[in-house]
Amino acid sequence: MARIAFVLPVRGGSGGAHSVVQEVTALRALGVEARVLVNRANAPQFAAAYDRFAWVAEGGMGVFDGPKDLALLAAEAEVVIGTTNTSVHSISEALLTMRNSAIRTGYYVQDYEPLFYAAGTSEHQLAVASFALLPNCVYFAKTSWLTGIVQAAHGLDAVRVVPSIDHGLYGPAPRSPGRRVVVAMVRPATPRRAPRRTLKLMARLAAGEFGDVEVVGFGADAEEMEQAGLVTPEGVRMLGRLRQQDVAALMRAADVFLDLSDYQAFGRTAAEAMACGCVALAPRLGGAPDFIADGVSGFLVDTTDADAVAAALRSILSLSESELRAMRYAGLEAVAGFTPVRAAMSEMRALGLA
Amino acid sequence: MNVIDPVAANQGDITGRVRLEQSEDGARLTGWALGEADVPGEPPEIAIQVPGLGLRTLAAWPLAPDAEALPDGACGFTWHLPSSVRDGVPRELRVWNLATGLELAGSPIAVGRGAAVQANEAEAPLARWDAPLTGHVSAGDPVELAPGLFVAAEPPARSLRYELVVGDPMTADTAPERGIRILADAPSGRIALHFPLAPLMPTIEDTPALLQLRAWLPQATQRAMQAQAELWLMVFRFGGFEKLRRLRRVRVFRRPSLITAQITLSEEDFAAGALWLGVEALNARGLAAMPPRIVAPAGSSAAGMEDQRLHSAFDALAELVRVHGEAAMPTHALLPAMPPAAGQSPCVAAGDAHPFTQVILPVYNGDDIVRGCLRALRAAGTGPFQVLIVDDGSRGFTAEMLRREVAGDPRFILHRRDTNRGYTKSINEAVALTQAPWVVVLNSDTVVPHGWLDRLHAAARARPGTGMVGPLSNAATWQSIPEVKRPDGSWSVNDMIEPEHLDAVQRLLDEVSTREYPEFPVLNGFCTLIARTVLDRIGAYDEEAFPMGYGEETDLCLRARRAGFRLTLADDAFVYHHKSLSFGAAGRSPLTRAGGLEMTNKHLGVNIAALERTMQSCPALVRVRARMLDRLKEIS
Repeated sequence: MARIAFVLPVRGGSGGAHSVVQEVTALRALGVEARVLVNRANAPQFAAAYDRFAWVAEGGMGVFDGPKDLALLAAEAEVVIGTTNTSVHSISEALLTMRNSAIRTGYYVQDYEPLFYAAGTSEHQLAVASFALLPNCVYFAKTSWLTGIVQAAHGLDAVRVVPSIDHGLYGPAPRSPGRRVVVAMVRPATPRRAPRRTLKLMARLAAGEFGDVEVVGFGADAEEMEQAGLVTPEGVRMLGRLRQQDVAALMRAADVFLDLSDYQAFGRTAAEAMACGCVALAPRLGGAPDFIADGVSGFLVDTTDADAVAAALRSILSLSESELRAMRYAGLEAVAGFTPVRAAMSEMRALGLA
Repeated sequence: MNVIDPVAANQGDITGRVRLEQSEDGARLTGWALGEADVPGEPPEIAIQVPGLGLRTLAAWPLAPDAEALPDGACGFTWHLPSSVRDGVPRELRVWNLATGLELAGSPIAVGRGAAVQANEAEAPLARWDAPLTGHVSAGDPVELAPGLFVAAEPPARSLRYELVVGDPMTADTAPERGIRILADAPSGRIALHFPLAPLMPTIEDTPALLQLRAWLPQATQRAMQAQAELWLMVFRFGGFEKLRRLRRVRVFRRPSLITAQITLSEEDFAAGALWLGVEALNARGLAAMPPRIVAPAGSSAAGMEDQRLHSAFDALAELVRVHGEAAMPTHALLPAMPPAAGQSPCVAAGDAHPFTQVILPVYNGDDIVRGCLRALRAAGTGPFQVLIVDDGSRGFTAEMLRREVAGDPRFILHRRDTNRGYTKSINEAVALTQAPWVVVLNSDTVVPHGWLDRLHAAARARPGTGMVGPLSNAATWQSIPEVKRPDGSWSVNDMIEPEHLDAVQRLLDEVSTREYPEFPVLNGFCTLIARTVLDRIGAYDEEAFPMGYGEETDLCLRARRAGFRLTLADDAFVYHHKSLSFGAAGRSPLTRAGGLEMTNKHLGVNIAALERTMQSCPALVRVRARMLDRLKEIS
């Protein structure tokens, strides 16, 4: 069977890393010899973060230190896949050290990373250059927004693959009637996740502007909030950084999840919230329209328009119990197909291996 | 950015208002103006009088109905100050509404030092430059090139060539700023530039500050060229430099990039001696940089995108989308709402007349072919035009022939240089000598038919937002007709077409063309009509990256599309192009030949192969070619 190596030079823990690890697990279950290649500096944390996957300790994780090391590991694979812009640069440098390499390359575009940096900066150029490095590369991404951006900005065909979420962790549960619970994630260190906008709306919610609701936040501990100069609004219950299973439990108990990011290339947390039976409000700009039909399986909004956000929130909170239930079901159905096996199959097809 | 100043709208007899704005990409005039009262909805033309540069005209555009505070029918306009106006010389610009004949409120506008030009606060060391503008020094220990600037390079580099750089060499679009470019005779383990921090001290003494500088590699020798670079805090004491600590590790590229580092100075740092910033490129052949400055941290905003970096990042994304798609797209489904791209329309004359057009004809030797070109130009003109012949150091007999040919015809002006400066520099020199709202850069091995300028301008008129227009030809890569390539894959020169067939081919094209005026991503540089507004907005050809040509026209096209100008093909215009049979070696495109490395490095992320596919499959051209071949078969 095919040998696929995902170059993942991260510590692990992020949504993107989770999905790659899940998909590698699924690929291996399908008989594909899939591995992740992690740089030496991040390897110990990565191994610890994913020690529940047996393959991590059984040769499924390769460790490299520099381009020559990576080239040796890459030479054992048929396809080497970059998962971040820096990993694409690492692959390119590794290929330069190899003679007559017949290795194929892929770029799993998990976000359009040039948007992470101001234009003109060294980091921005590095991210843009990642789309000009790999010869005969297969580009794939999990939303039509991402594939569209890669095509529109770089004239490169990109294949849309199926996203995956961990349905073993994120699943629905019966909800007790009563006061509605609105949950939002606050990420002080990531401005595009709009922590200030989110806190502002949470403050309005907690003050009762949208009715009697319970408002819960997560994603930042008190120290992070203080460092960023942010204050938890009165009446908001801030739970700090949560483990995945605690996020899932919170979503199962909540009615509404708010993602007011400037844009979302995919919208993983919204999809996971929907898998738990939460109704999600997500940015229209980005990948969420792939799985949220506005007003049917969730809500889409121009998050930079405060009035539009407020109007959408009023719509959600004015839904009757039966309307809310119908929307929950539609949301559950919309993300039910986001399984690691389907994701793995779609990646194999994108790479011409299935 | 809102281009409209609602203040003073509806005041008395004011038929428009103008003001000066500073933006990240330079200074610009913006404002609004009313059209003629008896032609409602017709945007007025705006005239800008620039001392020393003549009159610039541009068309205003209708404003969205939500511009509430403005009178009904108000139109907007924007004019980016070209670098020639941002040279620090005080000037008074006067702005007129040509529809009403009235000077706009706010005019005249003073530009000059302290107004349009923002001095770099750390420029002092390079402002006191007292070395030659270019020269050589030995590599090794740090050498002081000028007060406040040291260079150094580790072996095996032995010699360093240095050059003073003015302005951003890759964009030609920033206020004058001085930097230094050094190139070693061999790759060096570390090649370094040292700038004093003394000029920045008042702003970094107390608090952590963000230090920013622009750095780049001076030469492209491979695809997606990059090198590791480091920023060091250094101290100068006992006659030498010592490294105190590394501030950052980053990558530098061929294209200048901004490098930012946070710096906090302790008591010990101040006590150590005079503090300097070292910029070092590792395993590189050269390094170029502008002096450091202090910048404010990127903030977050209550309105619009919370992540302020996204504004410029989405703008940069939109530029790439324009290059690969439609240059003048008003909106895009995948992008947030954007302001109009170029925001200024080139001047077009009403009716069938074309506006005054200056033709730049670079000549370097050649006799019969150049003579044929000149005679065709003389016979082909139907409207106001002037030909500026730039003789780039031709041999005596060519120079004499040129003098003879143009003698007595005031429409032809001869500009001669005794030494050959190279194609790009001579065109830029000529562009600086012209003032017309449109110029044509025309190769001297062409033959133009009667009415050629009318046809090129008709294409510009047909597709609003056009900044550049190219005709079809027998030998112009993707603009060639009837055949593009030979059976062996090399570019066809359609050698069945001779110069004497020109009128017949044009008549045939008149017959078969449906005048669709398709948008093209890149135009062949053999004959290009260019709007003055394009040159004002994006600068002229890039002499630094393409001194001898081979890519400069593609670069200009890409920069124009990035800025939102359409490139339009006049699919009813034919210009004959002499080409040697060696033109177009099999399997290679001019876009990927010499200069290709500079091009791909300058336009990182642009997919030239994808642009070629767009040109190859252009439906309008496919139809023209098919109809032409059919007609040729009928005739034969």
